[in-house]
Amino acid sequence: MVDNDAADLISISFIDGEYFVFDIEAVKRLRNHHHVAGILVGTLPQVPQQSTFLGLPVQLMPEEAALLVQRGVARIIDEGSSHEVILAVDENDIDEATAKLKINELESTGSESQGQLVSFTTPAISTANRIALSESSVAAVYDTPRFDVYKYLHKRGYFISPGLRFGSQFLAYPGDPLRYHSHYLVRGLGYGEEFSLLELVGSGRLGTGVKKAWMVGGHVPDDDQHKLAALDSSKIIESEGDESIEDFVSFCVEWAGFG
Amino acid sequence: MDDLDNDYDNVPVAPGHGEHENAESDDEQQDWRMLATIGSDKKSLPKRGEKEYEPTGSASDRNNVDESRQAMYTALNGERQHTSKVHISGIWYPHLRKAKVLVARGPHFKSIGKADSSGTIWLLPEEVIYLVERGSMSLYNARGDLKISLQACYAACLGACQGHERYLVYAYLKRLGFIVQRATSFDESGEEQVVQKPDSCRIGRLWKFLLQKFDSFCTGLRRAIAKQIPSFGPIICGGVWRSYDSIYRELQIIPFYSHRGSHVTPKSTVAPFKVAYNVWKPRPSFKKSNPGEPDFRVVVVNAQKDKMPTLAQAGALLSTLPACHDSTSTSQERLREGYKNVIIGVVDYGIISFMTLGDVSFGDEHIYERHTANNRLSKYHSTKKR
Amino acid sequence: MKKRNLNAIYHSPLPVEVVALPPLVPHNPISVAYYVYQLVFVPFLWGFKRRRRLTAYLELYTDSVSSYVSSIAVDSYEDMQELWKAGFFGKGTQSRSDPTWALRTAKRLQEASGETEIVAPEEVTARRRAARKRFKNARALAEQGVLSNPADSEKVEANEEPRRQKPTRVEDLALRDSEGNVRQLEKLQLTFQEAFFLAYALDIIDIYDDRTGDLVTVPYLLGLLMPDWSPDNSFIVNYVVYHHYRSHGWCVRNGVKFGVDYLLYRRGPPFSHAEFGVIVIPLYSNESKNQLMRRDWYWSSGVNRVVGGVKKTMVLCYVKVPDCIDKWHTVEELLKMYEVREVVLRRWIPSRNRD
Repeated sequence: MVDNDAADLISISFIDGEYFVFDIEAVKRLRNHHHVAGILVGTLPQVPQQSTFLGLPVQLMPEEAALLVQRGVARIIDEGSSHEVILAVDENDIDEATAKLKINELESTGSESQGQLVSFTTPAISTANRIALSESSVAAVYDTPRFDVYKYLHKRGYFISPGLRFGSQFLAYPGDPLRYHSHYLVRGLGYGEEFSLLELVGSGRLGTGVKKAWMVGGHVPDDDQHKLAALDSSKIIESEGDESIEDFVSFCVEWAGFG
Repeated sequence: MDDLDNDYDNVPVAPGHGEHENAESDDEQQDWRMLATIGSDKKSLPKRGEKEYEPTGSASDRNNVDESRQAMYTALNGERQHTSKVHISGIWYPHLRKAKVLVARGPHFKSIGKADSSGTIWLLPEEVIYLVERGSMSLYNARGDLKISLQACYAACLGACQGHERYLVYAYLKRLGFIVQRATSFDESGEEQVVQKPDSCRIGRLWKFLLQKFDSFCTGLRRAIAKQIPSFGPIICGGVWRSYDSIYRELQIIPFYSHRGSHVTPKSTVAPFKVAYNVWKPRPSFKKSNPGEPDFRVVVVNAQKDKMPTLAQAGALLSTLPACHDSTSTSQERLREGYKNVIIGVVDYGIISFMTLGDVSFGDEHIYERHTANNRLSKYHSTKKR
Repeated sequence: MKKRNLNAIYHSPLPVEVVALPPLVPHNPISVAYYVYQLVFVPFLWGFKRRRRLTAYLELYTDSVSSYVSSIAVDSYEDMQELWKAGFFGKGTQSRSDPTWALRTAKRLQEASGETEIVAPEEVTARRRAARKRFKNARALAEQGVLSNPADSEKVEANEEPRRQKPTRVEDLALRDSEGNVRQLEKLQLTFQEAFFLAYALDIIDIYDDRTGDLVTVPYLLGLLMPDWSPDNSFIVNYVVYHHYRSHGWCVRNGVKFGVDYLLYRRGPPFSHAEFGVIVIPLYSNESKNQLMRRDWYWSSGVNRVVGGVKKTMVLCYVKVPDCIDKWHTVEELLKMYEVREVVLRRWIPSRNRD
């Protein structure tokens, strides 16, 4: 059963402060149409004893969820509240015997067999009525340096994933990460935020060592936007009818060795 | 980039430092078309597929992407199932934050679950999610009228795992075959109970000790003659110095934290720098009732919400750990791994990076002694009359 | 280079001479006498001898507010070699580290002028004379504006056997002095910590003001390097760490190439790669200030990646900074107000730690 409502918004599950997608159709839409890949974080049932290929759910960064909501593509579901009715139990009124009987019934009507082993299946998504959260639940993410640089790169068509392994906030890929290597180690900064020379050297070296560039960028406040005219960075890109991205500046650092 | 590393050619790597290089192979995503190469041999990693630098816009490019995607979607759409032979079923009780196991077949219970006095097995929330997610367990709500989907299972149990990052680390290690149990300090209020072994002290040779004393005496005498140490140095004043040993010892004026001799009192730890899990290497002889000392202790932190520990926090964490080296270890081992160490799992929205944090003391390791001893022997080799 | 040869060239871990006592064979009277002589009389003799000092020059940058040390460098070729070979101090300004510019340039110029390798001292003299003659000719031509095109310099070598056709550049003429020897244009630049260690701790170097020629004494040097006298002044905090590792036998060098503060070598760059990359973190008594200054995990993961990728272990060196550094009478007392504690961070791969 598809986990979307009539308005065809993609449902993003909000559980314990994190964002997940459990529905394979939603995962496809996000990846194919919105170049949002997320990270697979579940065990893959076919091959459970390895961690190279993982299964559903997909985990999204808050920036991804926030952008999708801002674009009107997705909505956030409070899964805890949505499932409360099903899961709730009155401590004083637990009737385990009845429960066990019901469970037995459920299990015996599972896949029937003739001399074969019965198999038990768990579905990925549930059919409960959903309680959606308003956009304000992700609004805290807007106007942060992380979100600014995420949005900037996403508009330019990049796939973006968490960058911990390379010491950066994000990794940016020119195409689907399944087929392409990442090009940039990304760090979003506030316009006046300082960073140390050692970080510049270290990040530049790290990037170049793995054939990537270190990219640092930030949103330019209105008062300073006249400075952008001097830089050739303000190419306007047609993308989904949103405002232009002239108010963002970015630089790339690569290691240059002499001799 | 390695040629920029050292200014000399053909310089050997210091022993024990070579293994970092291949760590990169664990990164970046694999090609799902290679999934088929994972055979019955579950230990072998799937072969890596080739990747391109950037999209060229060609049709073959798009085909490749579509194929890889399709392979992945097909795999993700696989059924989460198990047979009755290894069937596990249970009921989730939200007020207890645990699941009660009804049917318990299969090998998992050697390392998962805890039996109560009546023999019923109870599962912790991370164990529940782990089993449901891999398709090994059917979970039901308390009324028994609904089978809980994976999504509902997360909704029910994740909060009780004390952070998604903790669940991620738990599942990651479980998948690789490790045995993972909550430490006593898993909860806010808990403290890790660790038996501290007394530090072993080194016994030097008597004559060496006496020679050192004599050296110090000479230096002191020399200083007295030179009318005390002038305010602005030098430390290595004029006159004859008998060995680099004595020079180094004289230079050692900076106070440092040492492991020698003293018994460290465990301090109280602060979240998130508390041991979350005790981990054992995979072994069939593991007994839940008597697990023995864990092979690793794991702390879990969130890359976005948590920062690195202050020394006080790291020190408190390290003070609760047993020493992992005795008199048989080498100086190199102690400096690289730490006199005590703990594993930190750092989680960044689904990506885990593991590090070890080791307590070291460079001041306790005298690396110059061997070098200078060699020098002295070689210098006077010719004057020996034998 | 074989290990044996390396040990012969780099035989001292520090540029201080050491006279070891000979072995004592108790039943041999000659050995005993020699031993006593070495033990008692040699120090007596040495007491009168002033230790040979190396020379360095300090450049000051002065603005309207104050003077700052811009650089401290060693000019003399012999001193440079001594400092490099006995402890790997400093960096050659025209080399990657070991100050070999003069040697390399001499070789290059010999090759350029078609000379083969030097075989005998007499030939050295002969070649030098020939080179001097060529130099004078070329200089004359250059003064007439003939040698503006490097290709033209081939005319200068017309008499030589064309062993290698690398032409002498116009710039190369300035590299030789009137004797035809290669000028010593390279300096060995010392970091401030190295300079202070050599001057204060080892007393092996005399530092002179570049402009005035005055000797910069240790107290004056300390004042120049720590103008603000705050307990967490970066010079003194970094010096504490430098001195700590040097005093425990490590060769300590700058780590900016890897985004760290220091690199630790067990013996030195020619022997093996650096084993540790050290980051210095000042620690205050005010715990909330420490909390505020914490780095994040992205930073540590990145540094660990760079450092680990070049086969080193990352060390976080915490330096306890005193609240106030007003009350001290000797530099030793000042240094003892600080305290060092280290932890190491290494990458852990679960799949490699299963057995």
